[in-house]
Amino acid sequence: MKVTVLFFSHLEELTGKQQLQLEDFETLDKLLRYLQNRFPALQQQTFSIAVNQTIVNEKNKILNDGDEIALLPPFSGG
Amino acid sequence: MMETKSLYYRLSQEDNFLIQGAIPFEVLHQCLKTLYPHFEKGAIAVFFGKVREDIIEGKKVVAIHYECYEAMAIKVIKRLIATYESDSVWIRIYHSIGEVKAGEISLLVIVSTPHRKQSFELLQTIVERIKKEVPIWKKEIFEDFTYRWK
Repeated sequence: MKVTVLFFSHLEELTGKQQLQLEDFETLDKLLRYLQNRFPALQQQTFSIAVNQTIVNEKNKILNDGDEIALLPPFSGG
Repeated sequence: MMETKSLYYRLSQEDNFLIQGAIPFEVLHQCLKTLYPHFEKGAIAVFFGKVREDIIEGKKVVAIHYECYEAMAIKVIKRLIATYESDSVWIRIYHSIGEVKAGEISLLVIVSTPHRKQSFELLQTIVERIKKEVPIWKKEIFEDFTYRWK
Protein backbone atom coordinates (compact mmCIF):
# COMPACT_ATOMS: atom_id res chain seq x y z
CA MET A 1 0.00 0.00 0.00
CA LYS A 2 1.58 3.27 -1.13
CA VAL A 3 0.86 6.79 0.07
CA THR A 4 2.30 10.18 -0.85
CA VAL A 5 3.35 12.68 1.81
CA LEU A 6 3.59 16.37 0.89
CA PHE A 7 5.56 19.02 2.78
CA PHE A 8 4.75 22.72 2.53
CA SER A 9 6.28 26.03 3.53
CA HIS A 10 9.28 25.75 5.88
CA LEU A 11 8.62 22.02 6.42
CA GLU A 12 10.01 21.43 2.93
CA GLU A 13 13.27 23.06 3.99
CA LEU A 14 13.36 21.23 7.32
CA THR A 15 12.97 17.82 5.70
CA GLY A 16 14.73 18.56 2.44
CA LYS A 17 11.72 17.05 0.64
CA GLN A 18 8.70 18.35 -1.30
CA GLN A 19 7.16 14.91 -1.24
CA LEU A 20 7.80 11.30 -0.23
CA GLN A 21 6.33 8.05 -1.47
CA LEU A 22 6.00 5.61 1.44
CA GLU A 23 4.69 2.11 1.86
CA ASP A 24 2.97 0.01 4.49
CA PHE A 25 1.70 2.51 7.03
CA GLU A 26 -1.79 1.39 8.05
CA THR A 27 -2.73 4.41 10.12
CA LEU A 28 -1.93 8.10 10.20
CA ASP A 29 -0.34 7.95 13.65
CA LYS A 30 2.11 5.26 12.56
CA LEU A 31 3.05 7.36 9.56
CA LEU A 32 3.52 10.48 11.72
CA ARG A 33 5.72 8.61 14.21
CA TYR A 34 7.89 7.43 11.33
CA LEU A 35 8.19 10.96 9.93
CA GLN A 36 9.08 12.45 13.31
CA ASN A 37 11.77 9.81 13.83
CA ARG A 38 13.18 10.30 10.35
CA PHE A 39 13.01 14.12 10.58
CA PRO A 40 13.40 14.96 14.30
CA ALA A 41 13.00 18.71 13.63
CA LEU A 42 9.31 17.99 12.85
CA GLN A 43 8.71 17.30 16.54
CA GLN A 44 9.01 21.03 17.32
CA GLN A 45 6.74 22.12 14.48
CA THR A 46 3.05 23.01 14.49
CA PHE A 47 1.07 21.69 11.56
CA SER A 48 -2.31 20.28 10.70
CA ILE A 49 -2.75 17.24 8.50
CA ALA A 50 -4.87 16.79 5.40
CA VAL A 51 -5.68 13.44 3.84
CA ASN A 52 -6.81 13.77 0.24
CA GLN A 53 -7.18 17.54 0.65
CA THR A 54 -9.38 17.34 3.75
CA ILE A 55 -8.12 18.30 7.21
CA VAL A 56 -8.31 15.35 9.62
CA ASN A 57 -8.16 15.38 13.40
CA GLU A 58 -8.23 11.69 14.21
CA LYS A 59 -4.62 10.53 14.32
CA ASN A 60 -5.60 6.85 14.18
CA LYS A 61 -7.27 7.34 10.79
CA ILE A 62 -6.82 4.33 8.55
CA LEU A 63 -4.85 5.02 5.38
CA ASN A 64 -5.66 3.58 1.97
CA ASP A 65 -3.59 2.88 -1.11
CA GLY A 66 -3.07 6.08 -3.09
CA ASP A 67 -3.84 8.45 -0.22
CA GLU A 68 -2.18 11.86 -0.27
CA ILE A 69 -1.16 13.14 3.16
CA ALA A 70 -0.13 16.81 3.48
CA LEU A 71 1.61 18.42 6.44
CA LEU A 72 0.25 21.96 6.64
CA PRO A 73 1.81 24.70 8.78
CA PRO A 74 -0.56 27.51 9.81
CA PHE A 75 -1.80 29.28 6.68
CA SER A 76 -0.66 32.80 5.85
CA GLY A 77 -2.38 33.61 2.58
CA GLY A 78 -4.76 36.45 1.85
CA MET B 1 1.93 41.21 -18.02
CA MET B 2 -0.37 38.26 -18.81
CA GLU B 3 -1.27 38.03 -22.51
CA THR B 4 -4.89 39.20 -22.94
CA LYS B 5 -6.23 36.21 -24.85
CA SER B 6 -4.95 33.71 -22.32
CA LEU B 7 -6.31 35.81 -19.44
CA TYR B 8 -9.82 35.87 -20.95
CA TYR B 9 -9.61 32.12 -21.49
CA ARG B 10 -8.53 31.54 -17.92
CA LEU B 11 -11.26 33.78 -16.51
CA SER B 12 -13.87 31.72 -18.32
CA GLN B 13 -12.64 28.49 -16.76
CA GLU B 14 -14.32 27.19 -13.66
CA ASP B 15 -11.29 26.76 -11.44
CA ASN B 16 -9.66 30.11 -12.21
CA PHE B 17 -9.09 31.12 -8.58
CA LEU B 18 -5.29 30.97 -8.63
CA ILE B 19 -3.30 33.35 -10.83
CA GLN B 20 0.45 33.06 -11.42
CA GLY B 21 2.08 36.32 -10.28
CA ALA B 22 0.34 39.63 -9.63
CA ILE B 23 -3.40 39.90 -10.38
CA PRO B 24 -3.88 42.24 -13.36
CA PHE B 25 -6.43 45.07 -13.11
CA GLU B 26 -8.05 43.58 -16.19
CA VAL B 27 -9.48 40.81 -13.99
CA LEU B 28 -11.61 43.37 -12.09
CA HIS B 29 -12.68 44.93 -15.39
CA GLN B 30 -13.84 41.57 -16.74
CA CYS B 31 -15.77 40.82 -13.55
CA LEU B 32 -17.54 44.19 -13.68
CA LYS B 33 -18.47 43.61 -17.32
CA THR B 34 -19.89 40.19 -16.35
CA LEU B 35 -21.93 41.82 -13.57
CA TYR B 36 -23.36 44.59 -15.75
CA PRO B 37 -26.48 42.67 -16.97
CA HIS B 38 -27.40 41.60 -13.42
CA PHE B 39 -29.79 44.53 -12.93
CA GLU B 40 -31.29 43.05 -9.75
CA LYS B 41 -27.97 43.48 -7.92
CA GLY B 42 -27.37 47.04 -6.84
CA ALA B 43 -24.26 46.63 -4.72
CA ILE B 44 -20.72 45.51 -5.58
CA ALA B 45 -18.08 45.37 -2.87
CA VAL B 46 -14.43 44.80 -3.81
CA PHE B 47 -11.37 43.94 -1.74
CA PHE B 48 -7.84 44.28 -3.12
CA GLY B 49 -4.97 42.81 -1.07
CA LYS B 50 -1.67 44.45 -1.98
CA VAL B 51 1.85 43.34 -1.07
CA ARG B 52 3.04 45.79 1.54
CA GLU B 53 6.62 47.08 1.62
CA ASP B 54 7.17 46.19 5.29
CA ILE B 55 10.46 46.94 7.04
CA ILE B 56 11.49 44.00 9.23
CA GLU B 57 14.64 44.25 11.34
CA GLY B 58 15.83 47.06 9.12
CA LYS B 59 15.27 45.15 5.87
CA LYS B 60 12.67 46.08 3.25
CA VAL B 61 10.25 43.49 1.85
CA VAL B 62 10.49 43.72 -1.94
CA ALA B 63 8.22 40.80 -2.84
CA ILE B 64 6.22 37.91 -1.46
CA HIS B 65 6.35 34.39 -2.83
CA TYR B 66 3.04 32.57 -2.34
CA GLU B 67 3.23 28.80 -2.04
CA CYS B 68 -0.03 26.94 -2.44
CA TYR B 69 -1.41 23.42 -2.01
CA GLU B 70 -3.35 23.93 -5.19
CA ALA B 71 -5.58 20.85 -5.22
CA MET B 72 -6.83 21.64 -1.72
CA ALA B 73 -6.98 25.42 -2.23
CA ILE B 74 -9.30 24.99 -5.22
CA LYS B 75 -11.60 22.68 -3.20
CA VAL B 76 -11.67 25.07 -0.25
CA ILE B 77 -12.39 28.14 -2.39
CA LYS B 78 -15.15 26.32 -4.32
CA ARG B 79 -16.73 25.26 -1.02
CA LEU B 80 -16.48 28.82 0.31
CA ILE B 81 -18.20 30.25 -2.75
CA ALA B 82 -20.88 27.53 -2.68
CA THR B 83 -21.61 28.38 0.97
CA TYR B 84 -22.66 31.92 0.16
CA GLU B 85 -23.47 32.15 -3.55
CA SER B 86 -27.13 32.10 -4.63
CA ASP B 87 -29.42 33.72 -7.17
CA SER B 88 -29.03 37.00 -5.32
CA VAL B 89 -25.34 36.69 -4.34
CA TRP B 90 -22.43 36.67 -6.83
CA ILE B 91 -18.85 36.01 -5.70
CA ARG B 92 -15.44 35.91 -7.37
CA ILE B 93 -12.15 35.09 -5.63
CA TYR B 94 -8.64 35.37 -7.11
CA HIS B 95 -5.39 34.70 -5.24
CA SER B 96 -1.84 34.96 -6.57
CA ILE B 97 0.62 32.09 -6.51
CA GLY B 98 4.34 32.54 -7.09
CA GLU B 99 6.09 35.88 -6.76
CA VAL B 100 4.29 39.22 -6.38
CA LYS B 101 6.28 42.44 -5.97
CA ALA B 102 5.61 45.08 -3.31
CA GLY B 103 2.75 47.30 -4.45
CA GLU B 104 1.18 44.66 -6.68
CA ILE B 105 -2.16 42.94 -6.04
CA SER B 106 -2.17 39.39 -4.67
CA LEU B 107 -5.80 38.97 -3.59
CA LEU B 108 -9.02 40.11 -5.24
CA VAL B 109 -12.48 39.39 -3.84
CA ILE B 110 -15.65 40.73 -5.46
CA VAL B 111 -19.11 40.33 -3.98
CA SER B 112 -22.38 41.52 -5.49
CA THR B 113 -25.79 41.49 -3.81
CA PRO B 114 -29.04 43.43 -4.18
CA HIS B 115 -28.21 45.84 -1.33
CA ARG B 116 -25.05 47.27 0.20
CA LYS B 117 -25.27 45.96 3.79
CA GLN B 118 -25.05 42.35 2.69
CA SER B 119 -22.16 43.12 0.30
CA PHE B 120 -20.12 44.87 3.01
CA GLU B 121 -20.67 42.07 5.52
CA LEU B 122 -20.14 39.20 3.11
CA LEU B 123 -16.94 40.69 1.70
CA GLN B 124 -15.38 40.85 5.13
CA THR B 125 -16.53 37.34 6.03
CA ILE B 126 -15.06 35.88 2.86
CA VAL B 127 -11.71 37.68 3.16
CA GLU B 128 -11.32 36.48 6.76
CA ARG B 129 -12.22 32.91 5.80
CA ILE B 130 -9.72 32.93 2.91
CA LYS B 131 -6.95 33.90 5.32
CA LYS B 132 -7.97 31.22 7.77
CA GLU B 133 -8.92 28.28 5.54
CA VAL B 134 -7.07 28.36 2.21
CA PRO B 135 -3.72 26.45 2.20
CA ILE B 136 -1.44 29.25 1.01
CA TRP B 137 1.82 30.36 2.67
CA LYS B 138 3.80 33.59 2.31
CA LYS B 139 7.57 33.81 1.99
CA GLU B 140 8.71 37.42 2.45
CA ILE B 141 11.65 38.26 0.19
CA PHE B 142 13.94 41.07 1.33
CA GLU B 143 16.02 43.55 -0.64
CA ASP B 144 19.20 41.62 0.21
CA PHE B 145 17.66 38.42 -1.30
CA THR B 146 17.22 36.77 2.09
CA TYR B 147 13.72 35.60 3.04
CA ARG B 148 11.54 34.35 5.85
CA TRP B 149 8.36 32.29 6.00
CA LYS B 150 5.52 34.20 7.59
